[in-house]
Order: sequence, then C-alpha cells, then structure tokens
Amino acid sequence: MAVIKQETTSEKLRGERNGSDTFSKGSTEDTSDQSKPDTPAPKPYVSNDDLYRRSSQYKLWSYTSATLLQIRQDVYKEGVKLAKERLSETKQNLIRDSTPEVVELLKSHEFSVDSLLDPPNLTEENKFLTYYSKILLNTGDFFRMPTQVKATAASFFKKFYLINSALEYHPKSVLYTCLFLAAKSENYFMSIESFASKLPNTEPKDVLDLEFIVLKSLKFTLLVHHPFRPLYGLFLDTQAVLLYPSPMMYDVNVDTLGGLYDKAKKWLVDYAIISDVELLFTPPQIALAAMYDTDKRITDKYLKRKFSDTNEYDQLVHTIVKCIRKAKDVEIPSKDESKLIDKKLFFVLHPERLLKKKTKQVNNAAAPTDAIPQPTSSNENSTAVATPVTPAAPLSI
Amino acid sequence: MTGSSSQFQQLEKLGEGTYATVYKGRNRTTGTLVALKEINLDSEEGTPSTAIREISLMKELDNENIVTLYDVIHTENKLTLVFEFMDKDLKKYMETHGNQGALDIKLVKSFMFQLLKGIMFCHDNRVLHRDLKPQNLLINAKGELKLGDFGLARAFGIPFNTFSNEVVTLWYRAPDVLLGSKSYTTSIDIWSAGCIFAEMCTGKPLFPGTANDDQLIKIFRLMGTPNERTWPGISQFPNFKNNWQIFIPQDLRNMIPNLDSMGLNLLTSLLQMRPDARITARQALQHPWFHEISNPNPLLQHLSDPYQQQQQQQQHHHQQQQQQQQHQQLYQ
Repeated sequence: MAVIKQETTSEKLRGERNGSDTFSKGSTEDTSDQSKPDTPAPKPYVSNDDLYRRSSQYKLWSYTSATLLQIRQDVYKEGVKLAKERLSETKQNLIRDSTPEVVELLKSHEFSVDSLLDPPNLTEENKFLTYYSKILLNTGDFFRMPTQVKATAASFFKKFYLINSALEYHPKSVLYTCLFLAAKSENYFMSIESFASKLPNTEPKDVLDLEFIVLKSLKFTLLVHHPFRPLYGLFLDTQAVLLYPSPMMYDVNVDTLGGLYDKAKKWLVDYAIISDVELLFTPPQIALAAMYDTDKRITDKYLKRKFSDTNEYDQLVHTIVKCIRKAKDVEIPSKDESKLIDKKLFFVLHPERLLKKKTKQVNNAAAPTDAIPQPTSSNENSTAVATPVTPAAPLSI
Repeated sequence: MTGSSSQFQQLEKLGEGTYATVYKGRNRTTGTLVALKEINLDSEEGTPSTAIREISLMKELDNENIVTLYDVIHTENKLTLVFEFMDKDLKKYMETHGNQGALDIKLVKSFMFQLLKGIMFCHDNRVLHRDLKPQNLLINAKGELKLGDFGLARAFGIPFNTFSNEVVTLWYRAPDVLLGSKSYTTSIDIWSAGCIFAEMCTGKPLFPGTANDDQLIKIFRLMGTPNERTWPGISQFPNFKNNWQIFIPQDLRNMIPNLDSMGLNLLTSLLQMRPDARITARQALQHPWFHEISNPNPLLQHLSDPYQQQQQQQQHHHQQQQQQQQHQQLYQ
C-alpha cells in the first residue's frame, strides 16, 4: 500500500464560501434554544449560523469553486508524481533482476517513465469518481441503508479524493470502506462479515485495511451536516409562512407543500449527494435550492415573504441558482467509458503489469519468434481486462 | 500533526474507560503530558463504533470545559486517542481533597459552573453526553473541570425516540429513563448534574441504587413517589407500577445541611422528576447562586461568558485579544 500523504493543499487553499455565507432566516432548526424572558441578563443565544461556523464541515471542508478546482489539480499532480515514482521503482527492481539484454531494453527511451505512463487525465479521473459515487449509492441501496448513511458515505468518499488521488487508491475499495465507516458513524450497525460477504470479491480485510487511511484523510472529522434536516425545517416554515393565518396562494395547501417536500427530498438524493454542492454551499442553501428547483413559484413566494429586503432576497436567489447549476453539473460516464478509464488506471496502479505488457509488445514487434527472456510468463492482458470495474450485478447502474 | 505512538512515552495506567484503557503519557519531544486512550482494534469490526462516535463528536466540540482530543494514532492492532492530560477525575479528587469526600461549597460552585458550561456547549451542539458521573469529569491542577469520555455520547437528530435506555450509570440515571422512556433528551444530562452536585456537597452518592427498581425507590424516598397528579402521563411508562410504596417528598436541606438556600433552589431545579420541568444548562448558569462567578465585576463580565467571548473573538479577534491582555494585566 502506498504512502499516505497528508494535509496537501486543502489547508492552505481553504477559502471562503460562495455567495452569501449562510442562510439562517429560512432555516427553522432552532429547536433547542430556550429563551427565558424573565431572566435578568439574557445570554446571547447560539444561532444555527454560529453552530455551523464552528463545525468541522465549515472549517475544514468548505471551498469556493476556484479553490476546489485548485485542490483537485494539485492532488492529481501529486497522484501522477507518485505513479511515476512507483513505476520507476518497479523498473529499477526489474533491472536489478534481469539479464543484460532486458536491462538494455528497459533502459531504452521506449521504457522511460514518461513515455510508458499513460494515466487518465484529471477530467477522466473526476468522471470516474462520479461513476463510483453512483455505485456507492447503489451499494447503499442494496444494503437498504438509510439515506443519512449513504449521504455520509458519499461525503467521506468525496473528501477522501480531495486528499488522495484515484491514481493511488482505486475507488472501488475506498467506496466500500466509506460505506462501512459511515454506517458505524451514523449508528447503523452492520457486521463486517455480512457486509463483505455480499460484495463482489471482497474480504473483510479489504474493507478494514483502508479504514484508518480513510479516517486519517478525513482528518477524523466524521460529523456531516446534510441538507435533509434544514429541508424539513423549511417544510415546516413554508407552512407557517404560506398557510397561516390564511393561505397566501389560492392553490397551495398542506398537501401541496408536502408534495413539494417529498420531491425536494428526492432532488437532494438525485443531485446534491453526488455533486460538489456540499463543498461549496451551506446545508440550508442546498435545501432551498432543492425546493426552488422543484417548485420555483411556491419557493419564490416563500422567500419574498421571508425577505422584505430585496438586496438580501436577490443575493439569496443568486446563490440558490448557482447551487442548482452546480448540483446538475455532473457528468456520469457510461459503463464503457469508465471501463476504458479503469484500464488506464489499472496500469497506473500496477506498474509491473505495465512493464510486462510493454515488454511483450516490443518483443512481438521486434522478434516475434525469438524467445528473448521475459521477466515472467504471459497472461497479463487477460488479467488486466478481467480485473476491476465490474461490480456485482445488483450494484450496476 | 499525526504522530506515531513512539512519539509518546507511556507512563502509568490511569484507568479503564468504557471501551478502552487510559494511560498517562509524555510527549518525547515537548515533554507535555497527555492521556493516551488505547483502543484494541477488533479484527471482527475494525475500529469500534463507540470510538468512531467519540472521535466524531470530540472533533466538533472545541470548548474549555470539554477535554481536547489532540490526535489519533494507529498502530497494527490498536488505535490511540491522544487527549489533553487532566490530573484526576472528580471521584478521585473528592477522595483526596474532600472532607470525607465532601468539597468546600466554594469549590462545588466553581465545579458546578464549569460542569454546566460544558453541558450547555454539548447541548448547543446537539450532543447528549448520556454518561455523566464523577469518574467522567476531569480536574486539572488549575482547578479546571472538563467533560471527558464521550464513548456513550451521541448527536441527537430529529427523532428523539430511538435511544437505548441502557445508558448512564445507574446512580446518575434520570427517573424517566429508569421508567423506560426512550424519548429522553437533554434533560437526562441535567438530572446527572443534579446528582453530582449533591454528591460534591456531601461526599456521598445521592441515589446509590443497586438495580433499576431499587434506584427508582431510592429516588422516590427523597423526591416523593410520583403519580398521575404530580406527573401527568407517568402511568404510560413501561416500568410504571401502581403498587409503589408511597413516599412524601423530603426536604433536601436535611440531606445537604451545608448548602445555602440559593444552592438548594438550584439543586431542586436540576432534580425535577418530570424531565420537562428540569431547567436547562443555560438557565442553570443564569441562576443567582452563580452570580458571584458569572458577574464578579461588571467590567470583566465578558471574560466569564464563553459565548459572548467566542462571538466577539469571531467579530473582532484582534481587538478582543488586546482587551483580554489588558484585563489580564489588570488582574495581575
């Protein structure tokens, strides 16, 4: 297993959040604050904004689009660097153990690290990770995990790849560990035996071995604030604002709002969990985006009644629209496309296979009948193709 | 940031936690003392979920009255949580410093104030400790009290109704939990705080029950046996019995003669049988019994108020620092 690198860039690049920072007035989570009117010196109460600002999610995992991109570029660069190091180390080992002819071949330009290595590019890597977040959700569904657990696992997965590159850790095993860890963290008990036994080609050890690496990459911050609770709060507040004392819209009643709530919840599952929005917006902003995109007319009415200050209103709508755009700006590659990316990734993660493949190619081209000694026997191509990507049937998208 | 365990020299054993062994440790480079909580990694399940939850919550709870988690270290078969070192837990502190366990009321007041501040911070952050007892309250040489051992703590989301009723050491367990309620909330920590309050004053546990029913009877003996009139809905609890021996409420003054009437008033507010009648940590901190702590000098008022202090720090960090320095100079 490769070395864990820590604290790469996210710390220093952490910037401020997009748009208007938090959205407090629309959120009705304020359930735990008891005001006691008769006390002589009322203490300032802790608002949800304060609470959120204190959270590790805000302090460690909130970015602007620009810083987020920068982090991904840096992590990718570091991933390529490590891949090159692995390849060149494997080559050196091979040179040490090989006959002079092979050594000569390995030292040729064709075998230089730069011409050998063909890693997926950053866009491909990101697409590939999206593909696997989808598999993560499907796997969660397969285990009938609650939405909260799936959402937390997806969040762990996303954060893991802000610290590590897929060129170093294949997302397949990482996603299982993220799910198992999220289940524990969210108090959804599941034994490792029953978990691993239902996964394709997976032993308990495969899941557990990565546990600490994931924990460490997450900087041990495991509490994730999801938009589901704020959405529920908004659902309650829309009732208060739009229905009482008398209905504000002739065609809106409790059932209409209930329907909106259900659809918005589904929106969160479909768009928010997979996309980057949790890294860019606050949970109430995301919840509002879900409502706004589900029913613009009702949500807009609600916001207008909530915010008499048009500046505040405009800014908020601007943020929400940005959030919606970001949530839908997700490219899920086809199975074929991800297979191609996976093949590239396979050789990045298994440099010995890359060298074998190349040696064979060269040998076949130069002296197809000659038996130039090869480092090992010949079944590399078949294994390479047969190896990863295909998750078990119930898990495919 | 992340160190190896060889970074720390392991010293004597401090105790057994709910799922781990705690040792005193010394940082080899800085000499700083730490508490090392060693958790055996179960090859069955990996990191135990209690550890996962403790780490998860401790990472969010950054407060002067909650013990700080510095680091987490992983070696082949164990996980070590590196905590700030505290000299003693409250139980040992009472044994060594108390008069047959009983502490001076001035000290009780200081500890209670800090305990309630720690609880308020947890509750503000939507965390229930669920296992408050003298062994889990840590005291350092400066007389600071901090909440520790969050192994049983959990964050409370919307549904309050799925918690197990097998938490909290019996003696500090709230009557509603003993009656089988699973929908308890922040008020369970408040009951525990009340029990600890009384214990600090007398040196003896207030309700040292031996089993669930015995625990209830010990509570009734002092607080009076509840009924539908004093506690509407009580007959709906799973463990309700209509043949409980009837006790009338006793005067707490007789139990705790050394506590002044203001203090008794606070204690009574914490030890309310009905969970919704118990005051909150925030309200308790505003109780007049604490005025000499919370309001020693109007000029320095904000120094004793962690929330105001934090908010101001966020708003005018530098300004605040200067002010604090000035105040500290005033103090010196």
